[in-house]
Amino acid sequence: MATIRPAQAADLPAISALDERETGVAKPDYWRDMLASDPRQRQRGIASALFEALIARFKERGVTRVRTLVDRKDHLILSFFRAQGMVAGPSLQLDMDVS
Amino acid sequence: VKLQTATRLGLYAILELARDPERTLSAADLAERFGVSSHHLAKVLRTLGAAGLVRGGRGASGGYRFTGNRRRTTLMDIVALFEPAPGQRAKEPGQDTDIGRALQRVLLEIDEIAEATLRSISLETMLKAK
Repeated sequence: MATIRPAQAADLPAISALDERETGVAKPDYWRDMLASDPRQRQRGIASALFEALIARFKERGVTRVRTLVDRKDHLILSFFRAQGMVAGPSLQLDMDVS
Repeated sequence: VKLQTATRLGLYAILELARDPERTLSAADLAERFGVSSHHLAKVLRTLGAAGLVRGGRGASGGYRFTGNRRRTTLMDIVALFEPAPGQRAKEPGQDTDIGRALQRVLLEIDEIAEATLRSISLETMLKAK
């Protein structure tokens, strides 16, 4: 039986390619996890390169706008998307606790 | 969002200096650029200096240069130097009534969104955007 080591930041392009090959759909919900690079690799542009590759692929398929939902207290990931050029969109998210 | 004059000058000054960390500009240079008094700007630069974001400024013509980290410094870091923290604002009349509390919740929501925005934009991101 094979032992699979934990995924590393450098594996991410291969993982997302494999996932897309298997399922046939890119999953925007997984962006955040995909982009959460290993802290040791931070500041080396891995997440930016992944983001750019993803956008390039979207554009090839005719996508003209991308949108994401980020916790407003999650300053690190907010800063990341800002640095890629994303800005506040036209919609405000509203929610309600109904428990 | 209405920022105090000192806050806006602080943002202008830090962004202008961070644009080229090698370059030194005096309070008078910056004041002329933004059309304000150099006295006002000197005070703002002292605050930025005390925070370790700029260095220099001996005498009237002394130049300042940026000594911070463009990637690590956010707009919120600058704003927080000049604006009172949300928790430290003076208590307002009527705050403890039902309506006062409801209004506080709305104002807090606005503050949180503003803070999230300011904290997510680094000087680097700001200077890259055209």
